[in-house]
Amino acid sequence: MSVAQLLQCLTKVIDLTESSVSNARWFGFGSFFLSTKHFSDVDLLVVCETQEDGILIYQMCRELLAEWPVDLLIMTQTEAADTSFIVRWGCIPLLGGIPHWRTSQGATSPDENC
Amino acid sequence: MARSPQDNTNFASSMIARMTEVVQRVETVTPYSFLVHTEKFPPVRVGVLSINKVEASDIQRLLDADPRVEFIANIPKVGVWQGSAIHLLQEKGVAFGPVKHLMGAISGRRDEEPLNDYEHAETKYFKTILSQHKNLHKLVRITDLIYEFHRKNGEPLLIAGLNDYELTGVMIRAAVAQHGQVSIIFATNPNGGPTPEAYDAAKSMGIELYDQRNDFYRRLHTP
Repeated sequence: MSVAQLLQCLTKVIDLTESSVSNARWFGFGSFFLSTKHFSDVDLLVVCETQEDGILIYQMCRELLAEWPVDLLIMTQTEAADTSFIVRWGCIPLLGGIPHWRTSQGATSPDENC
Repeated sequence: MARSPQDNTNFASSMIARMTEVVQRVETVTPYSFLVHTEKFPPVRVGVLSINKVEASDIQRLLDADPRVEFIANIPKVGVWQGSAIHLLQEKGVAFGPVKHLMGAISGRRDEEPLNDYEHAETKYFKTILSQHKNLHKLVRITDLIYEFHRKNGEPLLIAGLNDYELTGVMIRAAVAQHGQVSIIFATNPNGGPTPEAYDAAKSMGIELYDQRNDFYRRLHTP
């Protein structure tokens, strides 16, 4: 059980939701994505078009949520706009899944053990 | 994916080991538990679970393996602590919570006392609010987030306290799916609040949603 496995699991879920729900956007924020030292959980945000999409995404994330220290927030585009959450929390877009984020951090592969 | 208790303990202890500003080292003592060594205070003995719904039997199994743990941490953040598990933990004098709360307990430690009595601030806040209400007859904990509020006047109410910074419609539905149906939700985070869609979602499920203490208190008086 390692961060590498967590990232693999997360990448799988992002791929699954992107192929099943149109216009769902994933973001990372909090200590896991923004701190270089330690993290208490993996904070994720998904912005989707409707509440129905959000519920579908939540159901697809059940395994991820049941096994890892993940804090998932799902909001509609309207809620995201009204709360300015993305800007206020400095959320990082997880474009094309986690590997993109890892690469942008200077890592070539998610091989880091927790 | 089934993981061994040792895997879970290694993962949780490695998260704690990264807190280098307060933690010197971690030491595995059983497949279910580890010690946290800090510079200032005696070691903290931590038990580890990774379960979606924690029952009393899960707690007992861990305590059989290591009866000396002060804090039991559950890896999934959304893991539900059932009332029976909480009752046993209180009886045995063991603190509990997700790994995040364990980190808060370790970094916030100010004396040599063990962590057995630790309670996260948001839990304490919600419990205090409920306990101070004049119409309270008896409080029964159903899960870590839900209480059965028995009133002197009026039927009992099932009340959940949700501390989400942004309480959205989907997260209201997710909390109910995970913890069970309630009659009232009180949004306890003073820095955030429910979105209009959260109010709609709650209403559609027959749940009253409050974020102002005065309104919530008034409701507890209403039969």
